[in-house]
Amino acid sequence: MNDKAQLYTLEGLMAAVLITLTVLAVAQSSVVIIPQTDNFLEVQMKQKINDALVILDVTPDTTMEYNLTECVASWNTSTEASYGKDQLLALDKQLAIMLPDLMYNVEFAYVENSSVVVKNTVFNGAPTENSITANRLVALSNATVNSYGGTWMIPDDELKVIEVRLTAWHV
Amino acid sequence: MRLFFKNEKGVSSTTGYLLYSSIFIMFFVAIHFSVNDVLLERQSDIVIEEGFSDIGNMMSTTLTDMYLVAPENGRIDTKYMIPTTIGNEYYTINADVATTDQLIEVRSHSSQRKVDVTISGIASTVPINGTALSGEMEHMISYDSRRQLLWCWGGC
Amino acid sequence: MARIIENDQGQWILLSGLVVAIALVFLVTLMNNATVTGYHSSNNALEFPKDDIRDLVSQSRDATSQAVHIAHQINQSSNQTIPDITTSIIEDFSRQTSLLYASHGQTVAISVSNITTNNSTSAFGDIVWLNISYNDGNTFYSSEPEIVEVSV
Repeated sequence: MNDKAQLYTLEGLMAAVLITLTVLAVAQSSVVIIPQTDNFLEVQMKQKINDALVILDVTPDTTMEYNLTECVASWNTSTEASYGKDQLLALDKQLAIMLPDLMYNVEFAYVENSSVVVKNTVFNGAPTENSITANRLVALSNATVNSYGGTWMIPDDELKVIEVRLTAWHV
Repeated sequence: MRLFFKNEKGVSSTTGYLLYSSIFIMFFVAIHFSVNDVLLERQSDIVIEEGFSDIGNMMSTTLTDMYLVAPENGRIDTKYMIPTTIGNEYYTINADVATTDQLIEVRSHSSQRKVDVTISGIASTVPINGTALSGEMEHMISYDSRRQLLWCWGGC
Repeated sequence: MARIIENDQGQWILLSGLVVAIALVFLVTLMNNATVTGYHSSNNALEFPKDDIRDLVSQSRDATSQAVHIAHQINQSSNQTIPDITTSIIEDFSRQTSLLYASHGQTVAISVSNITTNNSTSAFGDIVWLNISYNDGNTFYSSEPEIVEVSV
């Protein structure tokens, strides 16, 4: 009987057992990592900017220096913002306090001669593809515009509807 | 013939072959009992758990949002989309336990897995019931203020 | 044949090949079933137009109250009735609002179904019945009637 290479055989056997046990142990205790979308950031941002607009709109005049109606009413309708030239500094300052870690643009959309006109009023850059927009309507009458010193031309028997569009994105 | 029996060449190869094959067969039997559990069931469990809780959270969020904007007189309907299978299993979203247990239950058809998601207690104000099967084409949640505040889904 | 049996080159490659094969089976089964998590809940939270509907209803109520006040002022110097003036202001408001909402893909309609004016100086004011409807393809909302009480 050939009794050469017995240790060799045993070594091969131990190696096979060791490797199989290792593979089983690794497979059983592996942590399964599943990627998660980053949509939750956008959900949070949407809540924040909606709340910011609601607070600006609903707070009474006495609590806040410029509420949304006053900002909209006092805007000079012949100007439009571009990079570096803001048209509504008061609104910009308020929003900067409320949304400290976001960049935002504000546009006003209104109806003129049966078509929608959109004008930039606060411009801080071009939005990225993860930006979220929040809308809020403001209805102005001639009496309101006159009391805030604005330049909207509204007939006495009509309301002008302006949509404030706040687009925000993470830096 | 005797020479044939006395010939001992090739014993170690044969013994080696027998040894190796018996060891491998034992390994195969040992692994066979655990491979189904380790390699297949475990990730199915994980995938289904997170998929069902995602769907349950979506239903809970949508129901809470609808409850917040529901009109006093009028109706509101919303269509929603869910994947047909999660982890290759069809499932059912069941809201019949919502009134008693304040839960939305997502249950799989073929296995026993289910995930419950709470709905922040709104079912005590507005009764919610209905079921939605994942294989249906359209899913809808609707609310009508005239029908005694009943919600009904999945093809009403 | 003896040389093939005694040749022990390539053992590590064979063993690591076996390990890699088992790991691949595991991962492939996982990838087949796994999806990106958290998609449906966050997608529906983004898509459901809760803020749009709330804003529409609250601004309609606000504009109705403004319209009634303007109507009372105009009525003192012209011979149009208060319900007529209020209805025309709200119709104009509805026209502008539907154009603005249509510019981002939603259909909105606001109409007046009834107005009762209270001429006496009691505590009750005018009551306007509005019909508000909203549709963005996935969600349909209608409030009929939305009752707005305005005290002048």
